This record gives sequence, C-alpha cells and structure tokens, in this order.
Amino acid sequence: MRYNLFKSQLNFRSNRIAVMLCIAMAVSVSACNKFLDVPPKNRVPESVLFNDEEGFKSALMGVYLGMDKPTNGGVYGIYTNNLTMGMMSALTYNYDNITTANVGEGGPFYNNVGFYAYSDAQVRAEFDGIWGGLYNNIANLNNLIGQIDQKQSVFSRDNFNRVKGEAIALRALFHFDLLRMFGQPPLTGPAKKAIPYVTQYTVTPTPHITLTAAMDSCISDLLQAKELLSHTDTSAVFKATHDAFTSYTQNHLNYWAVQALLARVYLFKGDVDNAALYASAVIGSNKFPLITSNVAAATNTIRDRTFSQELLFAVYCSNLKNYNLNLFDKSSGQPLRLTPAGKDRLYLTGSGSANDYRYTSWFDNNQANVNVPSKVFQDKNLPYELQGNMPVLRVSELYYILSECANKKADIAGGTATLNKVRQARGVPALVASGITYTDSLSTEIMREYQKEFTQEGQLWFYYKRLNKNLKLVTSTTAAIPADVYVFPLPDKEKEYNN
Amino acid sequence: MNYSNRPYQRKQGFLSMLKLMLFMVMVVVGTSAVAQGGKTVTGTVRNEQNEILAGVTITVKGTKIITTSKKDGTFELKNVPETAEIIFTYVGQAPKTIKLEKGQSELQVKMADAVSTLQEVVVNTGLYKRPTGNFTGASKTYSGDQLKTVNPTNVMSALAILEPSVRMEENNALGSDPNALPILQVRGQNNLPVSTQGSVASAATPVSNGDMMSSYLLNPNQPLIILDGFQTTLQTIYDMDINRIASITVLKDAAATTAYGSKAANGVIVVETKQPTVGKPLVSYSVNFNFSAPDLSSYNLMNAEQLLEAQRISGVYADPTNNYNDQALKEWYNYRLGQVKSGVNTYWLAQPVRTGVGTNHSLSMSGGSRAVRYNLNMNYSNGVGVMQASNRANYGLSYTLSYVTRSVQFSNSTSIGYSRSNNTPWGGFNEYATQFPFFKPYDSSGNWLKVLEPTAQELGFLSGAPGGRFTNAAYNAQLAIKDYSFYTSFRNNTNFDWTINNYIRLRAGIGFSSNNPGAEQFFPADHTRFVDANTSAFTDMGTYQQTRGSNSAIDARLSVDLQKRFGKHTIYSSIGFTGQDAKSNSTIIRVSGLPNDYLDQLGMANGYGQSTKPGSSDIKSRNLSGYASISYNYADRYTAEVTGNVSGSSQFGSNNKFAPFWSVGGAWNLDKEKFFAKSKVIQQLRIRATTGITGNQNFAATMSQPTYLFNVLNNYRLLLGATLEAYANPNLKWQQTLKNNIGLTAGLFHGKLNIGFDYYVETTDNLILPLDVAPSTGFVSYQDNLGATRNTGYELSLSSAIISNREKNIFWTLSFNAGHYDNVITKLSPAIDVINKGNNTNDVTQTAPLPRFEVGESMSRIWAVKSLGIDPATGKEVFEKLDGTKTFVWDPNDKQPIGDATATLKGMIGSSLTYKGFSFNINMSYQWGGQMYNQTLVDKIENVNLKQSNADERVLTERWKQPGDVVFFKSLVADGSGGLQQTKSTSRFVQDNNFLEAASISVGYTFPNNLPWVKKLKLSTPKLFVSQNNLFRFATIKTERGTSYPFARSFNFGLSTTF
Repeated sequence: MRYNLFKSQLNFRSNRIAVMLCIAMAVSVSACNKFLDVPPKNRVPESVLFNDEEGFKSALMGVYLGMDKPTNGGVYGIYTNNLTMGMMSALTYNYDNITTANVGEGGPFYNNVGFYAYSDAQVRAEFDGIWGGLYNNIANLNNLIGQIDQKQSVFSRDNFNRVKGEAIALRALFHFDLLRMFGQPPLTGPAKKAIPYVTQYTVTPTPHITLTAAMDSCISDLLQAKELLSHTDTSAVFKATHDAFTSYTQNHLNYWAVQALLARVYLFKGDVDNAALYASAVIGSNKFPLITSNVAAATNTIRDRTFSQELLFAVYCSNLKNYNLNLFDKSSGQPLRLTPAGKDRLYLTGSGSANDYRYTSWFDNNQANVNVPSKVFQDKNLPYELQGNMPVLRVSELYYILSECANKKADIAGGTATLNKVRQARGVPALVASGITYTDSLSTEIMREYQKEFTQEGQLWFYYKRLNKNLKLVTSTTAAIPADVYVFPLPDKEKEYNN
Repeated sequence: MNYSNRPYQRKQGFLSMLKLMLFMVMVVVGTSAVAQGGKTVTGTVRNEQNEILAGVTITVKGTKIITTSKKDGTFELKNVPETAEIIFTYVGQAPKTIKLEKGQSELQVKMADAVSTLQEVVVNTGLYKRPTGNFTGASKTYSGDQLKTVNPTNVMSALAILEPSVRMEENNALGSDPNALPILQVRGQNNLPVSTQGSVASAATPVSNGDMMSSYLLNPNQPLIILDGFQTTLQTIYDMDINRIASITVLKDAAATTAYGSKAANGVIVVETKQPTVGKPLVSYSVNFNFSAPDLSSYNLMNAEQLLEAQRISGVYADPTNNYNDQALKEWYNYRLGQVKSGVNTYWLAQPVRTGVGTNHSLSMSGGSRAVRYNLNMNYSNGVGVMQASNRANYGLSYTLSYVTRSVQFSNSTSIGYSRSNNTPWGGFNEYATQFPFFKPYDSSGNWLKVLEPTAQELGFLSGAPGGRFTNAAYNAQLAIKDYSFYTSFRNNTNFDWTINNYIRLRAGIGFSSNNPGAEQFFPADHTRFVDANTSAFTDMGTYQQTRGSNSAIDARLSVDLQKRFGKHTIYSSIGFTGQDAKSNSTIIRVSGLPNDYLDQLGMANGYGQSTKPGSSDIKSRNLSGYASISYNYADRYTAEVTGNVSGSSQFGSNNKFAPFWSVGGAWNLDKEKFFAKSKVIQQLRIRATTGITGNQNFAATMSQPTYLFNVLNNYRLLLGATLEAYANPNLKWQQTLKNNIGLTAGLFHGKLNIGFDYYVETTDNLILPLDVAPSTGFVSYQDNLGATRNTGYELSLSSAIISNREKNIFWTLSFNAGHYDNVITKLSPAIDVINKGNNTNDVTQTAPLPRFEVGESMSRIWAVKSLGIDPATGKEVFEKLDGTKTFVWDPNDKQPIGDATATLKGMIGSSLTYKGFSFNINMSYQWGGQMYNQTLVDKIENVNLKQSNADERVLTERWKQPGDVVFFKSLVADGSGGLQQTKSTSRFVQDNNFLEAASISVGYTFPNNLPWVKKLKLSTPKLFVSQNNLFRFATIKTERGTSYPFARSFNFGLSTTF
C-alpha cells in the first residue's frame, strides 16, 4: 500500500513538471520564430527596409547609385563611364588617339576598344559587367516594384507615384540600353532574339525575347511610368528644396525625361509619329530651354559645360571628377584626347563654325598642358547642382528627333528649321534652307549635329547603330571592322544558363 | 544507414520531434519506484590525497542498486543485503570493492589513483551525464592533470597529442608566435573551404577571438567547445589556466553529440573546471617556468660574399639590353663589393631575438562546510616570445561559491580575466631574415642607421640602387611605438540543481560572458614605413589605429533528468532546452599626422589622412535548441539510446527556421553473457553501434535572409542608397552530417591490456555551395545546399599496465593510439568548376599548390604538375604533360593529383613510469602516409627575389650552374628576371610527410610528506617537474622553418604544492 501511494505521489509530481514543461514549450515555440529573427545592424533586412517610405526611397537611390557602380559590374562605372565618356565614346572615335598603346586608364583597354577587339579579356569583362550590373539594378527595381503596392499606405504626398514611376521608368531605361547594346541593329534584326525583359525578382532566368518585343515592353513600362509620374508635382524643375527627395528634378528619371525616353525608343523602333509626338510634348513644356549665350565666356572653373538647363536627366555621381582625371589628366602615359586636327575637322569643316560654343567650351588643357575633352569635367568650384552630372537625356536630342521625323515625312524645310534652332543656340549659323534640298543632305547634317553634340555622351554610337552606318566611313578608323560590330557579345554565363 | 536525404518539411519535422519529446516525458514519468527489503548504508568517498570524490558510481554487486556520491562525497544506499559487496568506480581511480560486515552500515572509503588508463564510468556530454553502461556514443575523457603532464602551457596541443581524432593544423610560417591560435578539427573536415566564405560583415576585424560567431565562422570545421555547460570560444580555453581544468571530453559520434543539434557536426569538446571540495581550506600553488630560446639553426642564410655572388649570377647587376643601365648597375656592384671586401658581414638574424623566460603562477584555495563551499583561483601567466619585447600576459581570477542542501544545490561561479599581447616593435622576423648582410646596421658612432645605403645622388651614381631603398627595421625599436592588443573577459555562470527525489532532478543554468577586446597601433612619423613619404604631405606621416570591440553572450538552459532502475531495467533520460543570444560589435578608427613619438594619442593626430574611414561592425545571433534523450539498459547487457533535438537559429533561412536532428544507438556487453563469463583472455567486451544526424550552422546569416546594404561611401544628391546584398535563398538549410559509428571496448588479461576501437562513416549533405545563375537574373550566383562529402575513418587505442606493483610502488604503463580518416567529395555544384578554372590560369600566383575540388577526390589533395627533375644539360625543370610528353613549359592545365596532405595514420606512443615519488612520461607522436608541399623549402631556395632579399645558402651551393650538374634545385642563371625567380607548383616539392617525434617528455618528483623540510613548511605533496616539448624528431621531410616568426626551443620547469 505504501508503495502504491508513493508511486502515485511520484506520478503526480512528475506529471506536474511535465505539464509545466509542455506549457513552457508551447509558449516558447510560438515566441521562438520571433526570437530567432535577428537583423544584423549594418545591413537592413528587406522586411525592415520596406516598412516605411524612407526605405523605399533608399532602395530607389541604391539603383541610381548603381547606374555608376552596381554590384556585379565591371571595373568602370556604367552610365558614368562606359556608356558615356568611356567605352562608348571610344567606339565612335570621340578620342582619335585611341589607336596608340596604353591610352587612358587601365592599360590596353581603350586601345582594344578602338580596334573593336571584343574578345579581349578586359573588354569582355566590361561587357559582362554592363550586362550583369544593369540586370542587378533591374533585380533591385523588380524587388521594389514587387512590394510597393502592398505598402502604398506608408507613403506621404505624391511619393508613392514618384518612387514607383521612377522605378518602372528606370527598368525600361536599363532594358532599352541593354537591347541597344546586345541586340541586333533595328534595321536588320527586329525579329531576332535580343535580351530577356525581366519583370520578376527571381533567380529563375527569363527567356530572351525579340528586339521588337523588348522595345514594346520598354514602351509599355514607360507609358505606365508616365501615367504614375503625371500624378506628381510637375509644376517646375527644382534645384535644392526643403526635401532632398524632390530636389534636383534633373537627377531623377522625371516625368519629362520619361517622355523624352519614349521619343528615343519610338524612333529606335521606327515609329516616327509617336517619336515626334513625345519629342514635341517635352519641347513644348518649355521647362528645358536651349541655352542662349556662350558658356565659354565664363572662366574655366565655373563654366557650365554640360549646358545644364537643357538636361532632362543626368545621373549624379560624386566621383565623376576623379573619373575625368583618370581618363584625361593622367600623370603618366597618354590621356584620351581629340587631337587639334580632329577637333577642327569635327567642328569647323562643312557647315561648322569656329564660333561653335561646343568647340570653344568643351576642350581644355590638362595639368600636363595637353588639350583634352572637358565636357563633363565639373570642378569643385562650380555651384553644387552643377557638379557630378553625367547627361543621359538632353533636350537637343528631341530637336534632332523632330528634325529626323520631319525629314522621314519629306518635310525637309520643317526639319531644317528644327535643326537650326539647336545650331543657333550653339552659336553656329543656321543652315540656309535653300541649300538643303534632299533628304540625304538633311540626314547628313543631323548626323554631323549628333557627332558634335553628343561627344562624350555615348548617344552617337546608338545613332550609328540605329541607322546601321558604315563605321569605317563615319569614324575614319584604320581598324578592321568586324561584321557584327554593333552587337556586343553576351556573357558566357548567360549563354550557358539561359538558353 | 537507411536514411532519406529528402529535405525535411519544417512543420512536420518539428511536430514529430515535439511528439517524441512528449512521449519520452510520459515514458519516464510512467516508471515507478520499486521497494525492496534490506539495510541502509551511508558513507563518504575520498581519494588518496584525502580529497572528497563526488560523482563516484556505487553499485551493490549482484543487485541493481546504484547511486553516485554527492558533491560532498557522501552517499546513501537503501535496501542493501546484509553482507553485500559494494563496488566503487570513478574516473581516474582504481575500482574498489568492499564486502560489508554484518551490521555494518557506515563506510569511509578511500579510493586509490588508477595507474592504468582511465576507466570512464560517467560520461559528461555537457548537457547531461550518463554512466558508460547507459551510454552508446563514442567519447573520450582526459583529466586536466594528464593533459598538463603532456604540455603544461598549451592544453589544446596536449589534447591533439593524446587524442587521435583531434588534429591541429601545422603552420610552419608562424613558428612559435605566442599570439597565434591553433586550427582544430575533430575527425577531419567536412566543409569545403569555399563554402562558407560568403559575406561575414566585419568592417573592423575583431582583434580577439572572443567573438563567438566570427570565431566559428572563421573556421567552419571547428568543433563546438563547451565550458561548464555553456558554449565558448577556442580563445577562452587557450588563455585559461590549465590548473583549473578538471577534465576534457571529446564527443565524436552522433549518439554523443546529437543533443547539440545544429552545432554538433564537427564534434564537441567539453571542458569541465574543478569544483569546490569540502573540508578545511586547501591551498595549492603551482608555478611553471618556460624557457625558450630562438632556434636559428635551420636558417642557413648566405653571407655577404655569397649573396653578392648569387645576385651577380642571377643578373641583378647587369642589363644586356641597355648599356646605360648596365653601367649604372655595375657601379652598384662595385660599391657593394667594396663593402664586402671591407669586411661588412652582418648577421641580421641575431638582432631582434632573445631568450625568453615565461612564467605561470597559479594559486587556488578550496574548502567549506557541507552546506557552503568555495573555490578561489588566481593566476598570472606571461608567455614570452623569442622576438624582443613580444609577449602575451594573462591575468585571471575566478571564484565559485556553492550552497548545498539535501535536495538543492545552488552554485555561482565568476571569472574575470585580462590579457594583453604585445607585438614586437622590431618588426617582422622576415625583415631580418631577408636583409642583405653587406649592410651595416649602425653608423661609425654606433647609432642605428635608418636607411642602410647612401642614395645614388650621394654616391654620384647614374641611377638608384637595384631593389630600391633599404630601411633598417631595427631602427624602429628605439622609437616609442605602440603595438598591442588586449581584452578583458568576464564570465558568470549560475547553476541551480534540484534533486526532486531519487529519480528526478531538475537543473537550470544561466551564463553570461563578455569579452571586450581592443588594440592600439601607433607608428610615429620617424618610423621607417614613412621613409618614402618624406616629401609628401606632413599630415600623412605617423599613424595611429585604435580598435575596440565588445562581445557578449547570454546562455540559458533548463533540463530535467530522470533515472530509474526496476528489476533488470535501467532507464536514464534527460529533456532540456537551451537558448543563446550573442552580440558582437567593433569599431576601428585610424588617424594620421603624428610627427612626434611623444604625441602618442589619438587626439594628437592632424587628421584622418587620405583614405581612411572609420569602420564598425555589429552582429547578433540567436539560437534555441531543445533535446530529449533516453537510454534503456537491460540486465547490464543490452543498451538502447535514442536522442532527438530541434534546433533553431537566426542564421537559417526564413523557410527553415527549425531543424530536427536525431540519433539511435545500441550497445551489447558481451562479457556479461553467460557464454563469455569464464574467459581467461577477455574479461571485458562491449560493442556499440550508433547512427544519427547532426548539423553545422557555421555559415553567415545573410546567405538566407534578404538584406539591403547601405552604400555609405557615396550619396545620390544627399540621399543614401541601399541595394540587395545578394540573392538570399529562403530555402537554405543547415548542413547535416549523418554519422555512423561502430565501436568496441575490450579488457584483456585482467586489466593488463585495454583496447578501444571505433570505426566511423560520416556523410555530410546539404553542403552550402554557390550555384551559378544566368547574370540576367541580376546575380552571378547564390548559395544553396548542393555539395556532399564523406569521411571514413577509425581510431584505435591500446593501453597496457605492464608493471603494477602496489607494494613496491612501481607502475609502468604503455599506450598506443592511431587514427585514420579518408575524405572524399561526393557531390559538388558546377560553380566549383569556376573556382577550379580560376586556379588553373597563369593570372593567379602559382608558387604554392592551389586547391582543386573534384568529385571522388579528397579536399586535401595536392595538385601539382608532374616533374621529371632538373635537366642536367640546361638546368631547367622537365615537366610531364598529361599526355605523357615532356616539356620545359609549366602549364597549369597539366596539374594532376600528386599527394594528399591528410596523413593515413596519425597517433601517439606513450609511456608512463612511476617509482615511489618519481614519475617519467614520454609521448611520441607519429604520422605516416601523408604528403606535404615543402613550401618553405621552395620559397627559401627557388622562389627567391635576390634583388630584394637574402636567401638560403643552398641558392648558391645546390642549384644548377653548369651543364652536367645533377642537382635537385633548378638553375641559378641570369634569366632576365633580375634575380626574381618563381617555381610554380611542381611534384618535385611534394614530399612524404612521415615522422616520429618526442612531442613531450617530462620528469617529475613528488616529495614524501614525512621529509623534515616539508613538515616544517607545512606543505603537502610538493611536486617538481621538468618537461620538454619537441626534443627530437625523425622525419622523411626536413622541416624548413618559415620566416614570419622564428621557432623556439623551450623547456618547462614546474613546481606545485598544496598547503
């Protein structure tokens, strides 16, 4: 009997402990997941970042910064170097000394670019870097776009439309530039596979689609972005305001820049009606007037060489000055340069003029007293808003687009008049309308304008590619031109893992 | 071995574990007490030194009555038959049997020290204790004294000598640097070195490895280290007073480690410290002197004349392509020749070294009443390096207080420590090993020279000296340089132990540990590192760097142990939970512009210099783990053991926060079977088999959780940007290792020979490796569970008490052990090909063999190009291409597996002899069947840059010079490289690494207590001992010493006594 009693007592006590333990366990299990969610401080978990407006803005700014140096990018900045004053400008011989060895920074890189040696390891690495870097930016955008709709309530004022609109527009911009680099020229291969148009955040690869399909996707994204951004404050182009996010409109892919980009995409696609429509819409807004006086009159250090009031969208980069110094103010070896003869040939011959503001203000002597291109050199003595701007879209291109569209429709006089607006704003005499009687002659003048206007901005390469120009003729290079020079090779890994 | 490697479904896995635990609770609760008739016997157990023995297993022969002595050494046995035999067994003590007299109910038991190997009776897994009879796992326990005999200053190296499964990576380059931590492995590595490199956030590298997370991430193969029940770092054990260590247990297989769940895959090392004892205060003091002298015998550097000649032959002083340069170089040759002829021949190596005497004092006091006991330990140690002014000093104070009642034991122990390591102001040893002997260290009036050679301008030469400007590192020693790191540590463990009744015990514990490291590094402007900055900005000269860190961890645990014996059935069970919250952060600041060495403060700096930005890191991690373990024994013959664990970690992917682990084991005591009972040869025979799954969580959390990284270096129009760091894999899981183990323990010839054998197969699955993806996804790769490896091995240990004569007081034992393991990679991701390809180009430095990972090969494989030796006609090396053709051209694609760095067999042979008060111990380590790339040899003789540095004598004497020379080393000729020659990984330098070395020899003498002076000084058992590590070595490979830090020859002299 004693034994039994003891047994039951023991059971009672043990049971009580067991029950207590079970309760403790049940409580802790529910609390466990929370306990184990530990965010590291110097990095922010996605779930925390996307909890407020500030986080979404940071994610968007991360992409703008990624236009310079994204994760998975190459050695040089993308929009701040390779796609503008670096590789792209070298491809079009904006620097006519690139056939000399070891010019610019980074050993034989620019030399190889000048010889269109796309298989060179360093050149390949930059192509791969552009591809990987832009898609990394796109992945960041897709992650943001994928989550923003559920969090609309955290936004104040018009910021939801701004963040989402800019994000979608940037996605289109990157895809458009990718298809312009890695796709076929639009005249020869609109139905050939070009690039994947990625709209989901995933590691499952998106299949490649045709050039036309990709351009249509760009247009659809841009139209959506335009719609979103039209609900933001479009009353003015701001410099510094009380709010850093709405300041410096020109450094955001803004409402007007999106329309300008639409004009550029439509023209690339060959849709002149829509191209002209959006080009004139932006010009008609009168928010981005052409310059009227010669900036060369200002002293070197405070010269507004980018004609900043004309910029629809410029990417900001605080390292831009250093990038310039690396390319054009090398302490040893040869800087990239346009020789005096080349400069004169570009700006003075034909319909050119020695009074061209571009001729007088875009070239300076570096510290070694060598005359080098200085269009995007922005000294620290300039006002803050004029520093660190690399032009991506400028209003003069819209005039050229309008002119080209008119020309396509055989309105040679109208086209010439539009082109003359830019010429006159640059201090160059207007073309005499009676001298331009053929479509071809207007086309030639437009091309010459592209050559003069977009030096160091990279758009000239895409102009050549769009019209499938014979590179040998337009650049007078001595290098052998490969057959598919306009199509950059895809990264090997892309071919391997996304067939 | 029949297990599924399908991914666990989290919910299901967790629920089933929960059910299992509940089931176990019920099983144990359902068991009941069994009452029997008989008398009650009480008593106390002590050892030969009259110290209380707690935890002694006491059984009544022929019955199932068992108990263990309590912390105060007392025990109580109920229902004992009138004239029963009572057996006492305890770790390190010879088993003792006492036959009860009629009516005797009280016993004062004195147990004798076991002279033969340890008879482990209770295994402490750190989470629960279990008698060996109820334990099926593979484990091995070593006492603190045993380890101290082997190496009185480095407990981990002692463990690596004694335990065949523990391996310590050799590092010839770092030599005897007192501030370098060893790299440890238990049963080999199961991680690819690439797999966890990922992104560990540390803008500022912590200066002390007190940082829990980074210390484990740094070496993903490191075993889990448990100190008194709580996780700790290797650094903590490394700096701990060896006299405080009671025992170290190595847990190896699944049954032993599964309770640790996701941290257990690399094995567990459990360190227990000494606990307070009852009685009048017992004071013990021990001192150890460590004499170390630099061993410069392996440096046979060229003298001034030889070096100049070697430089001339290799073309340092000639330029056949340019006459002007040639003339300029000849001028320098003649100048240096003049120096040589005038008798300048400096032995640079002797400048920065010294003979050091390190000390270690340890004082402890222990005592108390039955209810309140205390233990106080103080120690000071100073490990002195052989480089001038380099040392590592540790100060430690620890205090344990425990309060014991009949059913409750409460104890609290606190330890605080301070450690400071000074780096030598003399600079790296290599700066002396490479210095040209034709330079004078001082000027004519005996002052140290800062720059060793006049400039070309001063000498009127055409151009600068070949090799540039040479500065004198010894010059810096007279400057007020600061270069030291330090840390303070604090640890408090509180334990509560409640014996609810004879069957149930509840234990709870909470531990807090913190470690605050710091480092100061100040180089004034006069330091030779700024010699080239003379003309540049004043604000860059002189730098000061300060690092501060703070690491802390809180650990909590709660467990319920149940033990029950009824009839022939014995059940032990334990259920418990542990949780851990660890934080670490650090800050690093670097300033510059401190022209004067008097201004040795951060705030005296002129500015932040050109490139500096403060760095900081902040990491947190949390872990939760629950386990349940039950073991059942039937009639002392059959044992079955089941353990389950559910681990959760903040490091796991969001879809897999909890991981289940399990193990099953069985053991059979054949000797208890009737058919075995009367064997004359074998008295003890036990076989064990276990299988189970454990995990490894030594990987970075950011691989599994999407995180944005802020770009703090740039802004976008005053706004900061954040981008996704990597593609975080939400499905990422812990790596899991399936461990299978079969073991055997046998005792032969009545204790004369003991044999232990374990065979294991460990398969690691879900190895985290990068998986390449199309770059259009935005990423290059992401981490996934892709790889697998398999380790197969065995461990054998034999020990024999050859003489055991208690009357004459002579004991002689011999022991031998051997460990073997094979590693093979069984699965890899294609991304590894990229790493392999990257290692197979001429773009990377190929002067050392680079790793290559192939399925079917071991991870430690040495890949090199097969060499056919040096062509006597040309002095060039002849290589064999993969297709068998011969070539002079080294091509990375011709690499093939040449050797394996993992030894086939590794172990020790030990002998221990005691005669009266004398004791003599020798432990010889051996290794057989592995290869080594003799990197130091090739670096000292072939990969030399004679333009910049001096080199081994053999450069001149043993390299090929003229046709017909049949030599091992390639030619020394002017090949246009100006004295810089590189030998790329070749089979010529892959050598068999077999050795036998006297790892430790020690001689001790214990003075008898009846000596007059001992009595006079009121001492008790004073002991004196002398030991030497690495006295001699027979090896197939000549150990070439590296140049980063010199090796030291050292011997220890120690004295210990109690009062």
